[in-house]
Amino acid sequence: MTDAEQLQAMLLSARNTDGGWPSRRGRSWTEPTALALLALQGEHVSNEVRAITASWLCQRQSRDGGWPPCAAVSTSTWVTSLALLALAQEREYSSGCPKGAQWLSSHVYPELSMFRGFLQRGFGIAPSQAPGSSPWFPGTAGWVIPTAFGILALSCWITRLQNAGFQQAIERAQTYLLSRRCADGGWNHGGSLQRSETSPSYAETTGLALVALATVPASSLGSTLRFAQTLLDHPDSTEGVCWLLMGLAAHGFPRPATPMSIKPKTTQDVALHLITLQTLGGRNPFLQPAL
Amino acid sequence: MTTSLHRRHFFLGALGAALGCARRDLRAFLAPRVSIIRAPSYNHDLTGMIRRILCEHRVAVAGKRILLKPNLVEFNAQAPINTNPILVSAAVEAFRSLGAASITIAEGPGHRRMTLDMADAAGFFSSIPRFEDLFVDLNTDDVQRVTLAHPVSTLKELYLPNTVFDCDLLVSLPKMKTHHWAGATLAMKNLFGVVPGSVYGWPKNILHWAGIDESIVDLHRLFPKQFAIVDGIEAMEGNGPILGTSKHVGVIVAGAHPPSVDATCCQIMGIDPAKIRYLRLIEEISAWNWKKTVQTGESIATVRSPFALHPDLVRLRP
Repeated sequence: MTDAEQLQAMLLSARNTDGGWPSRRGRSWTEPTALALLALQGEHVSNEVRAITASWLCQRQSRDGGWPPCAAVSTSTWVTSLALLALAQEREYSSGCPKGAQWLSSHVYPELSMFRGFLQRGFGIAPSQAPGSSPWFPGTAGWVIPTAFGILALSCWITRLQNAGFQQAIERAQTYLLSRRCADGGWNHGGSLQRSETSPSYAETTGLALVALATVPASSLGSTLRFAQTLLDHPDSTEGVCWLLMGLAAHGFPRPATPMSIKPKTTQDVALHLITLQTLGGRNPFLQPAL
Repeated sequence: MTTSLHRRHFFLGALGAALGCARRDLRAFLAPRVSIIRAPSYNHDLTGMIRRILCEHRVAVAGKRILLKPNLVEFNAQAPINTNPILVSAAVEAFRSLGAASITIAEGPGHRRMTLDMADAAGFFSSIPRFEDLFVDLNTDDVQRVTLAHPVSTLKELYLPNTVFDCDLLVSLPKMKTHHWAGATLAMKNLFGVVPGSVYGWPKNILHWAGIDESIVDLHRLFPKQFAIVDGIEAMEGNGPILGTSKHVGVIVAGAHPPSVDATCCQIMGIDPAKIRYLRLIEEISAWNWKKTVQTGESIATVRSPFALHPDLVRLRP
């Protein structure tokens, strides 16, 4: 069995009877289910599995267009990005996606009002809801991970939906990401008021931000790409290694697929590992346009 | 006549003295008790120490479902960021030896998403037998909606993991650390880890927006049956809770009333409990006063070891 076949078998064996996936055990959640579908789209799995999973995701979409993290939660959150990315390759199940993309773009924080801009320029008071950033949970501050996934989802749908507003939202979000780099050149969770600018970067956020900045020229990234390569020398998690490999590949620095030294422990780990193998094979599912 | 008056005075005086003593005893009996136990290193018999603490506090363990909630924040096994897994392992053994029906270790880290990889790197897998079977990642556990009856924060409701409600006793196992916002992060702040990242994100920013100190109080009030065991053996001073430096204090601080445990820790750390806002909030909404806490074992004076404080927090000194 190849690595991909083993991972695929692991993924399929973790599926719940309702067609969705838990993170590890328990009920199905949107995030692991969307990542599992993204991973399986690049593998030879039956259309039935894909259809059941896509259907599971469709049924979880909220009336406001977004997706909640699980059935027990009524608020749409950042996982909307993942649902949009996963359903982008399932044309039969993507009728709700335009509304989902609208929900997502409306949760990219806008430019500052004149008064807030004055406060920031004059007194160095940085807003928590920074322009271009997106929150994990509506109404709270913007952070690196939900912002990066927002960029990927809007970029995925922009050609099909031909929405000029999406392009502006993507550019604002990319500007935000570039402004939240840590001193070492990478990214951590990304708060400025949270004193995290002096904290070290994380592998997973650095890699993910690099994927979300795939269209940004390497000259804008300075020492970041070199720094990302050094992070790979000390792998700390499956998620970290996968995102670093994908991030470097997105900027033309593919690293050979070496055996993963860390055992995948969650559905997200297994799915990301499969997606990384596909990326290193030449196709990153996070960077594909919607069908 | 004179003799009779003397007798009456003597009798009334004796009665008054007896009542006074009884009142003092009653007050001491009712006051929250906090144990301060010297533990010079993690190589000592921590299981025995925790057993003795639980017996001293008469904690009902036999037949109960115990949830241990350590503080797991970062990968680094050397820096004193996480509750030391050796102490967590000792707690598992202590509760098991006292007849707990089940023991679950649960945590939902606030910054990093890969909880199990972090637990592995931080030594939890190697220090705690069958850790993976005992552990629940509260960030991804199934959740239920909980309405806050009389919130101090702006929160009206929270989604919280089912696991934290499926236990008879929630045992907060925090690391003794300074905290750049709350002043100190101890037993009460440790409960931020029960808020699920899969719903609210990493960090759990909704708690910041609702008011950090207020959210600490609201979360504390959701769990009436708690016991706290603070890892103050190797603590963190300075720019905590992540970027601070190691501070050897060599104590375990424990009790059934988390605000009293936290107030005791603050005094050990050279922080005035009256200046910790979340403790003041507890005082305002209850009859509790940190000065009424009764310490057993070591006295605060014998273990006090003032922590270096971030420049913004020097105002917290007594």
